Amino acid sequence: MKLYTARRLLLALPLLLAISFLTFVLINLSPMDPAVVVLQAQEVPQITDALIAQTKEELGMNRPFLTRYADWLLDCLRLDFGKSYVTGEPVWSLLGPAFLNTLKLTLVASAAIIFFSVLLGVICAVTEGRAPDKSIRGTAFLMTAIPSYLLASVMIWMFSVRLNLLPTSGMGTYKHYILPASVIAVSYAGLYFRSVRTSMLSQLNEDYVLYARASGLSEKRVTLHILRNSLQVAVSIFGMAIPIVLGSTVVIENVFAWPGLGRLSVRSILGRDFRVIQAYVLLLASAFVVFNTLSDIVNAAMNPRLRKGMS
Amino acid sequence: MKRLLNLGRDKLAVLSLIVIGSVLTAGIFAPFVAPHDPQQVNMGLRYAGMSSAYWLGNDHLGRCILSRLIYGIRPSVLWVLVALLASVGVGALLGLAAGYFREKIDAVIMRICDVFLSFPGYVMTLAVVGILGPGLENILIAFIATKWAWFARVIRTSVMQYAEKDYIKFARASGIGHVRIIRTHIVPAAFADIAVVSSSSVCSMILQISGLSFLGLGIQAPNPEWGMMLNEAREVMFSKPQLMLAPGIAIVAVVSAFNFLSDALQVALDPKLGASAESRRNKEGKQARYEYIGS
Repeated sequence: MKLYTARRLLLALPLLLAISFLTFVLINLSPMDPAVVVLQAQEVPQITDALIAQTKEELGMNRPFLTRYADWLLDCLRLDFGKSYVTGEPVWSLLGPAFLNTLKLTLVASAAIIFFSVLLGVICAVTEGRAPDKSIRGTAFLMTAIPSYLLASVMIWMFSVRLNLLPTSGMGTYKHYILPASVIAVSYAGLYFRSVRTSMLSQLNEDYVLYARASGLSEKRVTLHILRNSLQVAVSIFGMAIPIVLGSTVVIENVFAWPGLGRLSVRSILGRDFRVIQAYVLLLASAFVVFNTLSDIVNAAMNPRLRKGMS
Repeated sequence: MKRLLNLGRDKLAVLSLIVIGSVLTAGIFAPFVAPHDPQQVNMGLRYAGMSSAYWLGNDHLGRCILSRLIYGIRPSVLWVLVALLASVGVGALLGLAAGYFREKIDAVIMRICDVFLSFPGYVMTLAVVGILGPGLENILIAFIATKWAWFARVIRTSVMQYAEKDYIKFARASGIGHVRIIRTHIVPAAFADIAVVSSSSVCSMILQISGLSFLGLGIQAPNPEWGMMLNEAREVMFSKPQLMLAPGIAIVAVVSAFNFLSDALQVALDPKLGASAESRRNKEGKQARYEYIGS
C-alpha cells in the first residue's frame, strides 16, 4: 500500500509540472499584448510605443521564455501570482477567499450528491424493474436535459419569489447554501445514482448474498450487506465529483451571485485580466490533480485488487 | 450500417430523429422560415404577448421571439454539431494512430491526453475563452481544443480490441498497407463506438455552450442564441417569468431528443445489447461512464 501511494504521488508530480507549463504557454498565446491591457486598465489616455516598451520592461516581458516560466513557477509555489492587471491588487488576495467560498459550496454540494445518489441508487436497485425504479430513472433521464441555469432560475422563482422561503443570492447563513447546492446536486446525482444502482445489482448475484439469504437473514439485513460492498462505488464517485463540481460551479455561482471562483473567473475574462485567469486555471487544475490522486489512493486502500495494476 | 436500421423499430428514436431533423432544417433555412427579422427592434411592442403576427410574442426590445428562436438554432445547435464533428475527427485520427500503432506513438499521444484530461472541462474552456476573448468562435475553438483528448482515449481503447485480432494480423502478414487496413478493417469495426461516444457528448456540449452564452462569454448581442435569450429573460424573471418559457422549452426539447437518440443508438449499434435485463444494466454502467468526463 505504501508503495502504491508513493508511486501514485510520484505520477502526480510530472503531471502538475506539465499543467503549469501548459497554463503558462496558453497565456502567452494570447493575441493581446499584456502591456496594452495594463495600460488600458490604468486608463492611460494615449498608449504610445515608448510607453508599451517601458511597461514591458517593468513587467519583465523581455527576458527569455524559459526564464520567465521558471520565475513564474517559483513565485506560484509561494502563492505569489503577481498583481492583477486591472485592479492592481495581489492576485492571491482575490483568488484565495474566492477559492475558499467555492470549496465550501463544492463540499456541501458533493455531500448532497453522495446522499441522493446512494438513496436513489438503493431505492432503484431494491425495486428493480418496478414503478419506483422506472419513474426515478425516467425523471433523471429528463432532468439531464435541463440546463442548470434554467433549473436555478426556476427554483429561485419558486422558492424565493413565490414562496419567499430562501434568499436569492449571496452567501451568509446556511440558507444561502440550499438553492445552489441542490441545483448542483440535481444535475450530478442524476448521473451518479446509476452507478450505485448498477453496482448494487451486480452484487445481487454474488455467493455471499445467496449465503446470507440461505441463512435466513431478513431482506433488510441482506440489503445492508450489499450496500456496504457497493459503497466503494460511492467513494470513487465522491472522489470524482469534488473536482468536477469544483470546476463547473461557474454558471451556478453567477446565477446566485456566489462570491467564488466562478464569478471571479468570468469577471476576469470579460476584463482581460490575464494574471487572474492564469492563476485560476493553475489553481483549479492542480486541485483537480490533487483530488484525483487522493481518491485513487483511498480507492486502492479499500480495494487491494486495484493496487496490482500499478506495481 | 445495417444495424442502423434497427433504429427504425424504436418509436422514440424515430420521434427524436424527426424533432432533430426539423430543428436542423429550420436552422439551416432560418431566413426563409422565420417570420420576422430577429434583430428588428420595435419598442412599441415591448413584452407584447402572443399575437397572430408574433406567434410567441416579443422580448424586452420588442423583437420577435419566434424569429430569434429560429435563428438561435444556428449557434445553439448547428455550430455545436460542427465543433463536435471537428473534435471527434481530431480525436479519431489520434485515437486510431495510438490504438493501431501502439508503442511510442501511443505513449506520446496518451501522455498529451493525460495532461489535457487533467484540466476539468469547464476550466480549460474558460482558459481558452479567457485568452482569445469572449465570442462564439472562441468557445467553439475551446471545445475542439479540449474535447479531442477524451474522444482520442475512448477511440484508442476501442481500436485496441480490434488491432490484435487474427484477421488484422493476417492482413498485415499478407502485406496490406497500414492505411488500407485501418480504412477497411479498423474504422468500420470501431465506428459503433465512435458514434456512441460522440452522440452521448452532444447533449453536454449543447448545454455547456448555451451556459457560456448565458454568462455572456459566448455569442455577442444582438445575435440571438438560446442561452443568451434566457439570460435576457432572467433580468425580468420576477415580473415576466413567461419570457423564459420559449427558449427554455427549446433547449430542453432538443437536448432530450439527442438524449433519446444517443440511447437508442447505443442499443441499435451494440449487437451484444439485447433486451435482457442483464445487458440493460451493463449499458447503464457504460453510459454513466461516458457522461462523467463529458460534463
